[in-house]
Amino acid sequence: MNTEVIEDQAKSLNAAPSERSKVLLVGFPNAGKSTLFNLLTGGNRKISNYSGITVDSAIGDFSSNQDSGQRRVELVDLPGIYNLNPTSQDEGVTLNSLVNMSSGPEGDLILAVIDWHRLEASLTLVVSLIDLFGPHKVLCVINKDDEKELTIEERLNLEEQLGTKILPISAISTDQSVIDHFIREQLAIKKTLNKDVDPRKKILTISSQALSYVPHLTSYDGHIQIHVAADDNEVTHLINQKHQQVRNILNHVKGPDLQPSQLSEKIDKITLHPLFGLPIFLGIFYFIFHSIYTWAGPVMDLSEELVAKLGEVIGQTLPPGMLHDLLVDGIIGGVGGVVVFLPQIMILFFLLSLLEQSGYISRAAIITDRIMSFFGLGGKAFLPYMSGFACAIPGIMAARTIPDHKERMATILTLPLITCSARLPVYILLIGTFVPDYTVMGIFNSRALSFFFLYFLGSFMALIIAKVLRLSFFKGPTGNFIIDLPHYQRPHFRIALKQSWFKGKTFLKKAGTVILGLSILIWLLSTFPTPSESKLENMTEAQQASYTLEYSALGRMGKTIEPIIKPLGMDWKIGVGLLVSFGARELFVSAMGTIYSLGEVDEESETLREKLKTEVDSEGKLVFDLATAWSILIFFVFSLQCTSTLAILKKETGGWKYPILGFSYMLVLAYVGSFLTFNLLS
Amino acid sequence: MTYQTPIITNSSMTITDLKTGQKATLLNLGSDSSIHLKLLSLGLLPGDQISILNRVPFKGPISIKHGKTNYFALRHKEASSIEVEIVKG
Ligand SMILES: Nc1nc2c(ncn2[C@@H]2O[C@H](COP(=O)(O)OP(=O)(O)O)[C@@H](O)[C@H]2O)c(=O)[nH]1
Repeated sequence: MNTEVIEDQAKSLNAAPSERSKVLLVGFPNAGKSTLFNLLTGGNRKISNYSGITVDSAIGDFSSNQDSGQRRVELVDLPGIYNLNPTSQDEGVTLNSLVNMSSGPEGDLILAVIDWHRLEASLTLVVSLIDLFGPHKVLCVINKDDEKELTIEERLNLEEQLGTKILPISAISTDQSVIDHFIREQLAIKKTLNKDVDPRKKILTISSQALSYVPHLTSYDGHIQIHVAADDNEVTHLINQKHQQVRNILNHVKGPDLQPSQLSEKIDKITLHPLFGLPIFLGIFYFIFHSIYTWAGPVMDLSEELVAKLGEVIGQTLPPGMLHDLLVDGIIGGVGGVVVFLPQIMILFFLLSLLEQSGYISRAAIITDRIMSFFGLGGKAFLPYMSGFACAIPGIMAARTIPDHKERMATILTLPLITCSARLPVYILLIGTFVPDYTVMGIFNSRALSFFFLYFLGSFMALIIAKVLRLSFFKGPTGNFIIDLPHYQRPHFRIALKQSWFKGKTFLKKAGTVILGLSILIWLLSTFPTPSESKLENMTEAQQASYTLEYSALGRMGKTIEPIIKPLGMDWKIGVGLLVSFGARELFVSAMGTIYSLGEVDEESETLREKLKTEVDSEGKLVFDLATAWSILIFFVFSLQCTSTLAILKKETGGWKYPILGFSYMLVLAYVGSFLTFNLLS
Repeated sequence: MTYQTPIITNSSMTITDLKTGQKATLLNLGSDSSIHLKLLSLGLLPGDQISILNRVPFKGPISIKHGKTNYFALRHKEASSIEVEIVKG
């Protein structure tokens, strides 16, 4: 290598840090860090009105980095913290990132996000940050000042006392360029301040319990001195002092308008009412399931028709042969069958986003705390469970906010029982096909009610198992439950639409990659090996198709497990569906789509639902009756058919022991549950 | 009010003894340091005024207003460790 190149490389290595700044978002949970992150980076991250949703730190580039002549600024979204004494694993992540951030003029900076509605408490955190890292390391924004209530005099006064500039913003309505500009300007100014820094090491006092969430700090040796408090009083005393200091600083600030909080108080009188609180909670969730059915119904019918038509058109244009079969039976039958559930997924996430934004989730946590704690879980387990309705994986990660290890393990291990959106296609397919549509007790819809029941059953079983775990493997007292209640606010449709679109995209991506790949595999396995021509002689076309499937690899697998699933009311074709669904639940629907297209005699456009309804066995009896459908449904409620969940369980628990335990107990539940259901109903 | 206690000696009174709507002054933040720390973080200090907003039945969580615009909730069990003094009038 010639020396010029080496020199060039060295130069670029040296130049790299000066052209890049990293900014760490720090603030209370729910202060609006994620919203700000999305605004500045253009990223689309989950936004929610409940403490602890930002469970993993995320890095994003400023959108303005692409503009010419701008230096590169990266934003890091960290889990919310209340003070510098972490009380859970994710708060530990934040403290760890703070203490280890690079120092010096080119080092990282903190962007403290102060919540205007919780000005005093969040300023206490900011004062601690400034004391520890110095005013040249901390940028400040006051968020949620939607009505521009902080006056200029008040701001100037605050700036003087804190020793740093403050920008009042509303992450919802302030123009992105204003905040961007402020941060870039401050970055440049703060750099020059570095020279006058007091070289003495600052002391961070933390309790020994807090240290257990940041174990790396025991061996830390950097620009801060870690002091482990002799007892907890030392820590509370220090925070108390800071707090008093902040009260003095805030003497001249009037604070936010009282009206929104008075309104919140009135709403809470209803939603937290001793008698109506629980019915309202149940009503809201029933409404969500109801909407999924009634709103998505027509859209789904349409998309189903489209998929069926597409299959028909392609089926007629392509000459018969392998390619024809792969496209029509494997891909359109498999992937198409899953894709039709897009509207439901999008409606679910749209409504959940509205609910999250409104601030109701913390109230729901209060309402359910009695029940949760009866089963040995704290109110802190509510959010992970709630996320589990979308997908077990974010739910399991959200459980990092649970301070107590045993409680956390009990939550993680029962989370896969919560009905996630991957079960949705299976539920909708089977309920929509086999549960008759009628009105119950004048107001409820039978299908929505069935749906609600399955969700309820999953959650209820999760709690029962949690209780069992808390009485055996993970015995111990439940942790504290003290949460702050954000003000209610009108949810923004724009944010909900974005969220729902984003989830829809993720769903389609999964359908287009994993499900597509596996659908092709399913098709291959259900086509090969092919029986010899002589065997197929003297058979009708329908018999041929059926025989070919039986002869195939997948067919044989199904046949092998048939004796095991017979007591559940399932035949080998359903067995094939069950087998593949252990890769991902949606694959059940794909497999059914593929299998029933294969068996099709005429290439008439028929939706999967119609095919299932009319499927008869060799004796001409209907394969799917209500008992079989419910048996399958119950199987899906309980069993852990998701490789990604197993992987995350392994990651979070640090071994294969718990994933295997989780998988096994759920399989037993599923089998016993299906067996009982089938025998009770038939 | 027809009766009056001259000196407030009922220091054993805790948040759980308060009725919905009642106002009180915090005497301390409890002896359990994790509860203490959490309440401090939410912005409470001894001497602050609180009022009870809602109580979930069967000894469920209690929601409380603190200051003019702050709200939080805690369990019955945690509330029972925090001593208060009723504000008259
Ligand atoms: N009114 C108002 N609400 C905001 C503002 N910024 C964020 N929010 C809302 O506050 C809630 C919490 O925001 P989020 O970004 O998830 O907070 P994080 O926990 O700090 O990441 C969400 O419901 C947001 O819609 C703001 O400037 N004004």
